[in-house]
Amino acid sequence: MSEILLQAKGLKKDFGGLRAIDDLSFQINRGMIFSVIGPNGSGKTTMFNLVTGFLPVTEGEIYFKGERITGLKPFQISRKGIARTFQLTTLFERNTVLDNLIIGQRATRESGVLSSICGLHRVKLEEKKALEKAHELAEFIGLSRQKMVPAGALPQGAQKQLSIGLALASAPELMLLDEPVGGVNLEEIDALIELITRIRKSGVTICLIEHKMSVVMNISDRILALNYGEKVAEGTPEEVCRDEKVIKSYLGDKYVAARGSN
Amino acid sequence: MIGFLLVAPLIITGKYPQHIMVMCGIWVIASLALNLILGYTGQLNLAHGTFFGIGAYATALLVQKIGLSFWVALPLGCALTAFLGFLTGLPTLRTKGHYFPITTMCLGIAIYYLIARWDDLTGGARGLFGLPRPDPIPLPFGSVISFESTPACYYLVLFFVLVTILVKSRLVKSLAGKRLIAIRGNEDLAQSVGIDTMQGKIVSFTISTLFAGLAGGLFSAYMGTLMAEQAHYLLSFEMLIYVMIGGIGTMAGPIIGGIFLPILGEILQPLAGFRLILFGLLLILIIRYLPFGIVGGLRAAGMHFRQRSGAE
Repeated sequence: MSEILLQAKGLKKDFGGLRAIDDLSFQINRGMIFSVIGPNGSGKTTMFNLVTGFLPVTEGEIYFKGERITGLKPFQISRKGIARTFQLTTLFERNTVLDNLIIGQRATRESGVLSSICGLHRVKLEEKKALEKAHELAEFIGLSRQKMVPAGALPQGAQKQLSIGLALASAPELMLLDEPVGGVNLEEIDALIELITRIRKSGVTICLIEHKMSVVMNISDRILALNYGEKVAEGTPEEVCRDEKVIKSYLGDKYVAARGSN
Repeated sequence: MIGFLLVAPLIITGKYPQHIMVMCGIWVIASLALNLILGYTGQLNLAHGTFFGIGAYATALLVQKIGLSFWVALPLGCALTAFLGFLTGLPTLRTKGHYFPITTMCLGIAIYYLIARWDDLTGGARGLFGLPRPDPIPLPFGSVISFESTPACYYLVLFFVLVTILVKSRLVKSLAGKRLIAIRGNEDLAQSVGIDTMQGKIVSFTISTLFAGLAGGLFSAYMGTLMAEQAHYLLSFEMLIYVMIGGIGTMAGPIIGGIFLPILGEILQPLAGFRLILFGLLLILIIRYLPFGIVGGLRAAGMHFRQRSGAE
């Protein structure tokens, strides 16, 4: 039994009178690829926002490596070792690929304002290390030829790669990827999946939201299915794709009835 | 360039042009400071002129009412301005979107009226006058550097312009500066990679107001008089125009804007109020066609030229 990396207990989130997440508990073990699926509006992104502190939880607790992280600010959670990407690809668009990857390293680098102004040797050393690491990261995500291109000028697929690289720059133990292959073409999908599996191999645990079933079923170790903010099913890809409630929530009652009569 | 700046008062000997040169230096310091919070951190501070005024009044009052030497009063005045900036930033920088410009503008208006009405402290509408120039700095062998002449003040201001440029360029190029640029780019994304955006904004705002106070302090000692107009909230917009036209978020932008526009204003003096119409037109054209000001335009032109020569 491998170590529990992230654990959520009885999560609830209300938006006014609307309950977006209802009594959701799950755990992510170290080293796995954990996927979250569900129809639009089922609470997947809300769940990410709760875990990363972008939204306050209404009820429930979240633990990372056994430590309670409920109520911490996003930057504090990031520094604990949880990185995320956003559904609408977000980058520092006016900055180059290299600068993005340097900025992403904030979680691991200390360099104060005063010591920067004084031009201390220690700060220069940190800058050098950050630059070296950024070059490595650019290589790793496959953007070594576009290092000096402004992020906003990259094609969609490369932007997705960079957003993953940006999350990776903070040296996380857990990465939450919100639709990492959403809106890109087929070749780009392959490159992204290859990148994700390489990241997992390097020892980072991955939790992803994805709509493309072929992707989810192929790379996931475990799948959580949500509908109306509630857990519908959880298990291995085989278990989840056979689950009647999952089929129902995606395709409606008729499909289950039709299949049942066959 | 620096060579020219060093000998400029020897070449340009007219008293009035020399006065303009000193004033340009002061505007350059203030504009550089504004660009830190506006251009690099992405927060539109509409009370920048107010902090300039606070620095000016603080320095002047410390000299006149308490009898401190200018050399003690100036750092104290800057520190006080920065402290007020810090206190202002704590609540206002929490706001998102348009609320930061709105709250800072309201603050600017309130402080202007406070200064204009507080007769006992600030002299109210009459203002402060008879402020002494900075005390002479004694040198070995009995000589002194006196600041009675305009060229001497020019060198004093030039010194502080260079200090401001040094501090700002070091900060902007460092990792800490990249964090500020990240806040400008996208606050949520910055948070998600572990940047304490609130802390970054406060630090940037405090440094920015510190240098606004420095420009104000130099202004008060150089001019010898202070009126409430020097803390007027429209002053913030004037500095904003310097930064926008020079080039927002660029190192050279505020320097160009802070020199070019005051000189243009002096040249167009005969037009009186009509020059404001020209300024307005210039601003609209710049925002429409050169969103990164003169510096951005020059860069784009340079890139265009290089690409063309590369293609041929």
